[in-house]
Amino acid sequence: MSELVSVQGLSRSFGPVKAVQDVSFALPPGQFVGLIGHNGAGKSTTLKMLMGMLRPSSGRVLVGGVDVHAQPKEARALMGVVPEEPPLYEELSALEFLQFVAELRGASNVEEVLELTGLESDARRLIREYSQGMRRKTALAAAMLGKPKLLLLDEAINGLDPPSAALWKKALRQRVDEGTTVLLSTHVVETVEAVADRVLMMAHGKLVADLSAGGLSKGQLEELFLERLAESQAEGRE
Amino acid sequence: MITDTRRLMALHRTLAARRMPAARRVITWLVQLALAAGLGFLLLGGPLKWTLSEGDHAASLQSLWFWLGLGMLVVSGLQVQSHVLRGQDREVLGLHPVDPAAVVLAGLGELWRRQLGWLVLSAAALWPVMNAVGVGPFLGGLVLGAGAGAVGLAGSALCMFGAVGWAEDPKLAGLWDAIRGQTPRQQAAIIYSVAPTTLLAGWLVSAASTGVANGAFLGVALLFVAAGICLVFVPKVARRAWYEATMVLQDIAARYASVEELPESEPVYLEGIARFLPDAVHRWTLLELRRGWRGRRGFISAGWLLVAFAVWQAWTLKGSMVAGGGAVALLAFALGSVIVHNAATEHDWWRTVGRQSAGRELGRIAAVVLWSLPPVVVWAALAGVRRGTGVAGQALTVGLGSAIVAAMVAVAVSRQRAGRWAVFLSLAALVTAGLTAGLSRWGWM
Repeated sequence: MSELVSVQGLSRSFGPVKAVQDVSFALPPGQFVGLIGHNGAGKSTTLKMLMGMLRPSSGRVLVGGVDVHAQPKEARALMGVVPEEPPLYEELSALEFLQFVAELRGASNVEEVLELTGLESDARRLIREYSQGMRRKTALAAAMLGKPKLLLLDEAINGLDPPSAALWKKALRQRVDEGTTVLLSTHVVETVEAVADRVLMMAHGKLVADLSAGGLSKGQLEELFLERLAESQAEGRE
Repeated sequence: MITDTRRLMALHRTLAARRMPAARRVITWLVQLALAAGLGFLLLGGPLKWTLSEGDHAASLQSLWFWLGLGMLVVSGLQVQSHVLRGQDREVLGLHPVDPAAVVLAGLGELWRRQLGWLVLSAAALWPVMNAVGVGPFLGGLVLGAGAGAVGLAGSALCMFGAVGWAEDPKLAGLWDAIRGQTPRQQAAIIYSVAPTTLLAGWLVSAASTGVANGAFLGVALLFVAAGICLVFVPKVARRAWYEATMVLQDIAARYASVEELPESEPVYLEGIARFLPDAVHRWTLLELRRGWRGRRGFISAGWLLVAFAVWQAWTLKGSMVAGGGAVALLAFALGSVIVHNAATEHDWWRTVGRQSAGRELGRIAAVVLWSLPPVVVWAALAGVRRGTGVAGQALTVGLGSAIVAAMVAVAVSRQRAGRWAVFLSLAALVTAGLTAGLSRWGWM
């Protein structure tokens, strides 16, 4: 099997609002994929459906051949996820939290993920004392426990200071080089331009572009994104 | 599964210990015990002892244990909903491959531990009863409370996680549509699924309370047997529905979010009355009514049950109406707590816009008074029919006065940054006890 993730005809409506419309794509192992789109494009809804947190109105998601919505526990064993607002036990330290999650996941790489995310020096402080950025680091570290095959990150790098963001990108790239697939959603085009191998663009609930990031020069992705967004708006008006 | 359950229970103990230091926990516990005993003396000492000694002893005792058991059942359902189904464990651990059965059992274990603490408080509050009925029936009643709590927790978990599957069963869609009103179908299924537990276990509690009141304590064992049977099935249902619950709850949230703008045109309960208030107060009252009624409708409705005792007493002419006045005051503070909760969880934007606005605070007071109106009016009306218009007027004064005082306390406490609940609950206990003592002393009602 060459594809790790298979998204087939994914749609989701909220009442009259079509948040995601017939999105399909496949992701192979060991690829860094950026999912970009304007605010309200449907990125978070798509990610939530991939994470198994929201049921699609139609379509399905397979990770490693496992249906995310029909076999949620098995699917979660294959993936690590960081939602937009990651829930954590505030009264634990990051070290305690990670040790706890590691026990539940049967993982043994707590020290490694602490180092990768740059949390070692603050690992013994309670999470409730953390800044937003440190909470995201803790959530990412938890997602990387047990080296899952797929990492789903929803706006996970937004709001990080430049050194932390650089460290993250390095850590994620290392994982990708080891065979993990990373799907990172963001509305910050520069982030994707800097790290992604491939870019998925969403606008108004639809997948409007699926392209390799390799051949793009600096700034080209943003131009392309704005161009596709304008096309999508024009289609919507028609 | 057992190892994971133990590990999760240890986690809950750690989290609880860190939320409140040990010394503060002990002091809070002692204060609660003292307050419970004090309130028991003031509220129950006179009327209940009178009822037990002058009235039909067995019937009064049966009624007392039945209400205690029913209270435990209802609270258990609410607890399972807020802590196990919608709680932090599902949010945090639902992202990882865990055994749902272990998580749910650990959650139920934690709630059971808390309920045992409440039973100690109940024992302190009910201690005047022990003098009237003797140690055996008194302990029997407390064990009945524990059994009702156990069957309430296990049965509610079974029904609620079962409902996660039933919520999307097309065969049951018609049923949910018939009872859901404006609530999304899945939400209705989860909320109303507890009804079978409450009905069935309520019947068991009724039978057991009759047994305890008549010296036959074995009936209490039925409650624990029922709890055990439910517990056998909980792991299976949890494994099937715990992860799915995340999807269903997200769906419910999404359905509410997708009609976020619509509530402006959809009235909530009592909103029509609020429209007659002056403009400056009216919009804030609407905000509190909408947030309170949509977010804590179950709590407000359950709070009204507090007045059932007062209504029963007014109608049956048993005892004076002083204890009923205390129950009404407690209701007012329970409703005031919704305002404190609203203030603690409101969006920063409202906090900035509404700060130091007299209209806003009057709106909060108006919301508490409006929520208090239905049970207070019923209580006063029944008192009027059975005891004369003078007593009805006094009951109305006590009810509305309590609501205004409770709302003012809630508004004042809402401004505090920390410790607001400790202050609010202490003031609630003091005002209720003071009111009851005052009514008794001045010969009102």
